[in-house]
Amino acid sequence: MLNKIIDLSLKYKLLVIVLFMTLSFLGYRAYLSVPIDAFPDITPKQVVIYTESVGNSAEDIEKLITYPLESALSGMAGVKSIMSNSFFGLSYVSVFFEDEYDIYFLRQQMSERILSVDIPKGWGKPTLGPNTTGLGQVFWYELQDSTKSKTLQEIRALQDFFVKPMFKAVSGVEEVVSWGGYEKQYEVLIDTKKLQIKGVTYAQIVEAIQSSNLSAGGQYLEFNREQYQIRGVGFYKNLDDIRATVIKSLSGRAVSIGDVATVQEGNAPRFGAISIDGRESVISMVLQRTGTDANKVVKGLKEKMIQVNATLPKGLSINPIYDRTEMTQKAVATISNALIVGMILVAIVLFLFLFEFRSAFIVIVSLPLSLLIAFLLMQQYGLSANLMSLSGLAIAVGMIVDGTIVMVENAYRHLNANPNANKFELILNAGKEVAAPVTFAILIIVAVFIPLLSLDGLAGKLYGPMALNIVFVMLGSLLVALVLVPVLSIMLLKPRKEEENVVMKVIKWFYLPFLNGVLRFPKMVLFLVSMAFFFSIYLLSLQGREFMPTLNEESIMYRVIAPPGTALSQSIETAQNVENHILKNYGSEIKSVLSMAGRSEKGETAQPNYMEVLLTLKPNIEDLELLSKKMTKDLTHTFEHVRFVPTQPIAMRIEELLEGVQSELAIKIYGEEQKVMAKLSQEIQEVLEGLKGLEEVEVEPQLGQANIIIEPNYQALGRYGISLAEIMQVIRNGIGEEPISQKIEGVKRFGIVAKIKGARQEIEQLKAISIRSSSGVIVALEDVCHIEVKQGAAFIKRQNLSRYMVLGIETEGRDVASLVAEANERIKKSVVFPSGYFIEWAGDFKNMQEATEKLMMIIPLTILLILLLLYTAFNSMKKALLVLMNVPFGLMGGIVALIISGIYVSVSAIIGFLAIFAIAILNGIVLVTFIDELQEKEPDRDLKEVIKEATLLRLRPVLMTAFTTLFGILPLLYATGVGSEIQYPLSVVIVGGIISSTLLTLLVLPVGYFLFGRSKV
Amino acid sequence: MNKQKSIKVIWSMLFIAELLLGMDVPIDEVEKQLFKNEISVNSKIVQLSSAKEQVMARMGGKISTYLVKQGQSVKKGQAIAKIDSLELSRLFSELKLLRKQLLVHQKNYNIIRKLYNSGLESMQNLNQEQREKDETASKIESIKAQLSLMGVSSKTYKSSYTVYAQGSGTVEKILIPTNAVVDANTPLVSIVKGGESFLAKAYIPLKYVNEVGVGQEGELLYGAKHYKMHITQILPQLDEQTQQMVILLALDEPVPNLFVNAYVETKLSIGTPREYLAVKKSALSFFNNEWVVFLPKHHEEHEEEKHDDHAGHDHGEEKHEEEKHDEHEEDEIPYDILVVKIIKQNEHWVAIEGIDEHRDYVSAKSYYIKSLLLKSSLGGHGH
Repeated sequence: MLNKIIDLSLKYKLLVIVLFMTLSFLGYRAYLSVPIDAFPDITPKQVVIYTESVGNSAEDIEKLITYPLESALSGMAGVKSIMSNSFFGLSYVSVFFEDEYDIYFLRQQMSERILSVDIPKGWGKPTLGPNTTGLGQVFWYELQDSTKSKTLQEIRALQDFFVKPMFKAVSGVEEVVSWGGYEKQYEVLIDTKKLQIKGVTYAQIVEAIQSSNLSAGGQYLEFNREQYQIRGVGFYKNLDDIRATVIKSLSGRAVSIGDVATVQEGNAPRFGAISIDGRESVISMVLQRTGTDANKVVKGLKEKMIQVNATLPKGLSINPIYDRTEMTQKAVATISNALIVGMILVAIVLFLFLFEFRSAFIVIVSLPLSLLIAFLLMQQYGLSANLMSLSGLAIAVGMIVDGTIVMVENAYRHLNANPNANKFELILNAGKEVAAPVTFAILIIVAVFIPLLSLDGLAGKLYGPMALNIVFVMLGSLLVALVLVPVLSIMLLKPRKEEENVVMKVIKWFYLPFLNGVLRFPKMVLFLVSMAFFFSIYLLSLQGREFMPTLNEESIMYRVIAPPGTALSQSIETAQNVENHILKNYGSEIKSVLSMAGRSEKGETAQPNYMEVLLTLKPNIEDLELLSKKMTKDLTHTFEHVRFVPTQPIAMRIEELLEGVQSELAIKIYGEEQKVMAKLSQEIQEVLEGLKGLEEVEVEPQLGQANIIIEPNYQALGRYGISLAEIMQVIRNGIGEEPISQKIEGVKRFGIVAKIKGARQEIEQLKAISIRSSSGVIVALEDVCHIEVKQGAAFIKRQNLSRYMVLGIETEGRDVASLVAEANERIKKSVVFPSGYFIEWAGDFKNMQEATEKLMMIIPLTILLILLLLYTAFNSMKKALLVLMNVPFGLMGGIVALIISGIYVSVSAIIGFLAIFAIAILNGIVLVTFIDELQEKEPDRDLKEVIKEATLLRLRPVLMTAFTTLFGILPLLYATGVGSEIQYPLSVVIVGGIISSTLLTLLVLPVGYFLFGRSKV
Repeated sequence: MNKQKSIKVIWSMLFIAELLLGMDVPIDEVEKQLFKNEISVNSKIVQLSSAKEQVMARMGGKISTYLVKQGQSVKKGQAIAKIDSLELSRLFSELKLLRKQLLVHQKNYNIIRKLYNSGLESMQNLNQEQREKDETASKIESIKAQLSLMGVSSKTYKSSYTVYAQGSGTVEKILIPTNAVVDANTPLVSIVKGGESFLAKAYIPLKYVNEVGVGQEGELLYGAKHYKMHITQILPQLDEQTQQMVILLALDEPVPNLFVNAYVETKLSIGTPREYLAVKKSALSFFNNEWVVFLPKHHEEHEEEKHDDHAGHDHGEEKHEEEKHDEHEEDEIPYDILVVKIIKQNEHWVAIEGIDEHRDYVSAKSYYIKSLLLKSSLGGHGH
């Protein structure tokens, strides 16, 4: 079949050229249109349900909202896990699904399920979160007021009712979340003492307002052949309308709202705030819809921005703060640079080895062509161009040319050997000769990477695209090698006087004595190498492990955590102090500081004690890491009352998303009672104290939120004839300021609240709120309720229907795996868990564990697959094993490189080892095949001589494939830009592996053949 | 390792010191504060009928003259009107008759007594005569009293009497024209009592029943001004509708343009003011389910204080906290936690139990210390 392909393509040369021109055109178009992103979409399929339950406590929300929702959803098809967080004012339920389901189908299912959940009236309505992924925040902007003439309330209103709708119209935008400033509300400020005077109750006021803010349509009437529409216009138009609302008639005289309350504009209670450079501000986050191209969305936003800016009032403007695509572009640039440099280096290497322009040209042309075919396939399979998928290409750059090299080299050799023969026949035969080994070699590379596609979880999402892309590009190169290269060879190659090039001469001069040497002591060499291999395996087992190197996003960000229960105003003060401190002391490096305290109205599961501080850097920073370290230390010491945790925007979201844990390593304690869990976490913390490599154990304090508990005294209520509902209404609307109606102003709408004067100012005043029953009894709140301050839950986290508590662990200078093992031992020894309580490790470690387990299954399978392929190729198990023997040689180099550079074993490194597999086997195939061939030709010659000749003859292709791979990957090793650190372990391993595998292939494989290969004859 | 640890401790101490300077946690001394029990209630301005005095005729008669004019202010005891009274003359003539009768009874009695002594008269007759004599005498006394009540001497005959004002005030109205004949107890003149005529009727929750008492002070907020007043009466009946006590307060100073039926805000200081050891309200912090105050550690005094604790106080919790703290000495947060019980509070001060006078305490920004303590208890041996 392979021969037929070569045959056909040589017959229809022109067609082949046209075909490849079309392919490259399509490939180029695909290259332009492939969505670009920093990362593959690693976020799991997730749908979030928010239930805003204004003013309610964590415990009640858990009981009344979160739990019913969780249990209703837990039976849904495809649910992987359910995590939830219940805290003051919000229930957040996040459902993770198996990846194969369609998100719209899932959302539809969820909506239906939610409807069946019975949540008490007035406790909120569950809504599905925006259809975006965890990394959906593509663009943040500040609505900046350079004249400083507008109040925060006005800016917020502009943002909510003017800017937000405009940006929401941009294609691909799912939601625009406003954060900061104040939301306007209309306050009916009730003086409860006046209720007594006028003889009205709180409930009557609420009812009066609700029933006085209505409009109605009255159809139409016909008059003089025309239609007149009838409208009842009863919405409040101004504050006087509210004031004039009649509550009841008192002996012919109306009691109106104005008699018992003052009506004024005010600010709605808020849960979060924004401060930029020491001054409160309003920002907004644009969320991208699932499956859209971040780059396109941001581009659309930026175009819209010009329009928005033009229509905003004078002095106001949109000021971009964070643009994900900047990072994306940097990451893609890093990898593209590596790719381009790799290509150039490969070209140089080729030229040096071939020392002939035409053949080098053919090989080099195959590079971009294979890449373009890969892009075409990427587009077909909906793969985005990102750090991982592109690095797949970069890794493969050196291997792409392997097939072509073999084809061209063989054709060239034949052409030179018979300069006068028929060129067509010659090249056809040359092609046919190597077609099978080339195909097998490429298929083996593919075979190595295909099992990676079965990795699931985070590892699968990260490295799957990379593996897939390697497969794509290798298949592309196979196509090029089999179809185009013979055609190009016919057209371009010319016989030339064979004269060995200088480079090869020098190499051979060096190499020959070594080869002679090892062939003299074959057994000893093999023994030594085996020893070295086992030693290196031993060394590897000592090496630390981690899941994934941290991506450097070239930004500084902090999570700032204060004790639970911290007031928002205090957080803002802290934020502004931090901002001013940073600007004052790091003004030369930092342009601007943004703090986000608490949460936006629909979004994070954060409370006022939590802040995120994002620094905008000036472009000319020399050592970002150093600066970041210095600043962290400084901030930690200057602001001792809060905790600073350095992080980065994307990394933080990933951490948060994957485990509901905001640290790299964490222990989750599951159980029922928060107090018991808190005690256990304390014990574990003490047990772990002093563990080597343990930087810090951080208990996420779930308790510690002070609650003012208002518990009705039923006897007292009965005595005064006040119903519980009346009390709760006063608490919800009067104290809690839940809007009772809305004032509609064009498209804007603002809540109207019936607020009790002074109720939220002090505990004593709260107690003294007077309540008038419908029968006229007047009592203070504390007369009918037991009011006390008690410590309660700040939030309640649950996973799969069980409560849990998190112990965050920071490690330093020790690999996670061994630390976890030791920690587990200590915990097992000293902590007693009551029944129903247990721990689980979470964070990166869990991912690593999952990935390792999977790889432990994949690797033997891969070896088996390769063995099968080799067996098919050689038709001899012995030869197949001989080739496979090359693998350990490659691994040795990888291990040594890893140890020298002090890198932990990560998934990235493991994939590097897999790549070595492929390379080592390729080397082996080339050599073993040739020795076989030569032995067949001259069966009577001394095996040692045959091996020597064959090895010397194959020295060039072996070195060439090795060097192209090496130089192809070298740029990844030296890349410094954003994203380079992710591929660093991989490239270290591959570089080490190539070197050792090539050296050992050239020295040990002949020895191996000498010892085991001879019996075949 | 040990050396490292000690360096760590020194560093952390330095940071705390730096922190203290930087943060400027204010320290104050515990002091005594007077706590009044102030409550704010609604009151209604009323003018009780007793505040409008009516000068009445004591006895039927004809009004001969009025001695005051409408609108004239009068003082207590001032003559208001003269009344010619036939009844008065009748009283005087009756008095004359009775006096004569008394003399006759006296004589008869003396005679009967002599006869009885000699056994000629019965005991029954003697008693009979004595009764009649006494009856007449008492009738005389009664008339005398009646006259003196009206300010008329019984010695000289008179046919007219004067009525006087019972209290000071302004003559609001002369009700009966001169020369008219009136019956007894007919109002003649109405006098409105001066500034004191308005009262505030305040409603007070029942729970203050043991604290509220006549004479306690209050303040009336009227037209953005404060006016002093005092409780004059606690009405015996609870207002049934509102289930609150009703008290009356009299104003101690004149209030211009005060209107009856106005609802006004009233502040009352009820119960007896007491002195308590108190800290500023800004010192309080809610920590581990209890109210606490932070006290700066005095290292030189530390021993002494501890001793003191063992000897005198019985605040187990406090001791517990301190001991617990000693265990974590390396934390080096130079504050003790004192669990306190809130007894009373007003706008700025909180009276607490379990603290010594003049003890230094953190009087504000206690949040920072709480955060620091929480942070260290969470781990965070980060440096």
